[in-house]
Amino acid sequence: MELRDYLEILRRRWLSACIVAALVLAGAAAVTFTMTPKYTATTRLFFAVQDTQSVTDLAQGSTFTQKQMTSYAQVATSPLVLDPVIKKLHLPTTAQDLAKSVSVVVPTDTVILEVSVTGTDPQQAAKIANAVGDKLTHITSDLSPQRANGDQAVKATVLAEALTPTSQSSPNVPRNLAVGLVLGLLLGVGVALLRNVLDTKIRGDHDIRALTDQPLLGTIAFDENLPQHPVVVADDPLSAPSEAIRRLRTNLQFVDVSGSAKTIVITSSISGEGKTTTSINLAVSLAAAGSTVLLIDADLRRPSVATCLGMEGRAGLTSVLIGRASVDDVTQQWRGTNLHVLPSGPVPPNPSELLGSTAMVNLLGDLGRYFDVILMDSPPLLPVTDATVLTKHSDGCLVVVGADRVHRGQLTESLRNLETAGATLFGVVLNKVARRDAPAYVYESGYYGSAEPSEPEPEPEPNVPRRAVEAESQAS
Amino acid sequence: MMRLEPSSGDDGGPFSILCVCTGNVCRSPAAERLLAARLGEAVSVSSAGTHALIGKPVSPPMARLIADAGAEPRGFSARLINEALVRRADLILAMAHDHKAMIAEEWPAAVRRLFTLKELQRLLGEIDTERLPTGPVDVRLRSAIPLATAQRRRVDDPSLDDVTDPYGRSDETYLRAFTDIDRAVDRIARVVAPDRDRPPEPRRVDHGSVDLR
Repeated sequence: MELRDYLEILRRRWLSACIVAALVLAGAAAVTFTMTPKYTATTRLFFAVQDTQSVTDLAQGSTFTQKQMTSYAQVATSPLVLDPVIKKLHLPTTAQDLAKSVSVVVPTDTVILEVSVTGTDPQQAAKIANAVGDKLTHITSDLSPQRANGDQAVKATVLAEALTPTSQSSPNVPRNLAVGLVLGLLLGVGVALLRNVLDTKIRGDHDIRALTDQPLLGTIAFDENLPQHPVVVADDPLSAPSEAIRRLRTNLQFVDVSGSAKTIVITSSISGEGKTTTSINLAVSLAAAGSTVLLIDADLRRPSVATCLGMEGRAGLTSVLIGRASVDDVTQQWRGTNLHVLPSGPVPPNPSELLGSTAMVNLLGDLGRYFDVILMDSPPLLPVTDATVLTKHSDGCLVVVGADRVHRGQLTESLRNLETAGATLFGVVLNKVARRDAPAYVYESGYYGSAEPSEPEPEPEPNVPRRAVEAESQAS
Repeated sequence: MMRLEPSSGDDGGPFSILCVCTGNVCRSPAAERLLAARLGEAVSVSSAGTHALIGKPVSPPMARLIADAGAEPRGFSARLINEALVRRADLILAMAHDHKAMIAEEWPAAVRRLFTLKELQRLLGEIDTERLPTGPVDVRLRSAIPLATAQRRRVDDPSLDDVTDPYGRSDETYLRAFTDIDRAVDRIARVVAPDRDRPPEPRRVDHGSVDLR
């Protein structure tokens, strides 16, 4: 993956990345602000050799003292110093415990000792520090070697008394928040990448091209009005989905240059990918271009064509297959156009069997004489075998791919099923593409996204029966 | 051969309408009598029920409402729907979508002549009545049917086209069902029989004392 791909992932998943970052930051803040603030008071002591006579003495004395500093540091935190401090300040603790709050630092190559006391009470910390400093000066005198004249060789002087600290030493709020932010961002990016890896849904053209070489015959944008107004090519002919359907229609002619394809099965991998809506709109579009079209609702399990068109679906294909009606009786003309619809009929207990029956084969053969194109809306490929059965008696099929709905593995499997069954696949149609996953032309209506919309085809006049015209001429 | 027109009933007589509900004692008799009154002799109207209370007269609350509207509720006997009735009818008006579904499943050949009453009312409201030929009621009716069919589109809730079943329920429910039917009949009549007036409502002093014999 290139940098561009990473940036693309981040652009799409920015929201989850930000949420994770915000949560981590909030967590860091919560932890930081609930921690009890501690204050550190520091006193500094200077250790020196006294009464040096000469520079040599001074030099030697300095070296001696420097070497002693580590020892003095240890003394500072020993009970020797701390017990008296405890007693003096009436501290409810032991020398061992108090030592934990006392830290001693000797800056390198100096004879300075920094005694720091950390506690929750700043004033107390300062007091303890000063007491420790004070005691340490006395102890140093006690411990240092005595000169011949009775003076102590090493003397410690308080350089700076500990002041009451005004700001907390811990927790370090800016640092914690900064760390939280950085960590959050890292985690956010990590989550975004992880989600991308785990998300196997098909989203756009590139996902399909990565899976199959089959032609992509159309890319239809997601339209939230579609469920309420499914026949978009008629109700909103200038919209982007309508243009996409017309493009699909044209592309279908390209893949079937000989024009011999007559019966086309329209299916998808799983349910909810929009194959019924695509079938209906493609059928209307083909009829509008002049073909006589029959749309058969061959989904005998969950038929929906009739409902989408406001027709009665309880008389239809199954009625014909069991001999209760002729095709003539139950086909319904759509809005007086060249499109005729054969609804499913009553739902049978054995859909696969019916669709593969001799009656069905014969029916399709008969119907081919009256129609230029027969589209069959069928159940999805993966749950049941109906669609695969149908492809055996048809000239080919179209697989509708519902972006944001079907997973790559599912599409791969359904395409494989078709291949195994020896079906002719004309191509795939990418449906319900979200705005952010679509190339620009998919969402813009109008030719190449220009300001002028493209011309819709004129709708043919609905037929008024001949008898009416005759009656009219008789009456006049 | 693909016929493009609605299949018509095959008795060769006047244009016939069959109204269908469940018991054939409330809704479909009301539709039958109101349509007969409004459409006149060019059209023959009858009714039947999918689970008819065979032999019974019109349910009294509905009979009162029918009479108040100036139509005739007497001389009625409920009967069960059958194939012959369905085959003869040029137009079948179901009172609710489940009657329509049942008829379509049982007698699929009738599906292109089949509407629910309120569905037809709704669809006729969408057509351009200028396109109907001038002429007698039955001629206009025959032409209106494919035009109405062409207006069909997806509906969110098919039960909105149902007339509620008032049998055994309150007077308000009866009135509501009757009003639905009356309005639908009125729309149909105004489209196909615009020259015929509404029958005058009989003047009555007393409420509901109609002789039902």
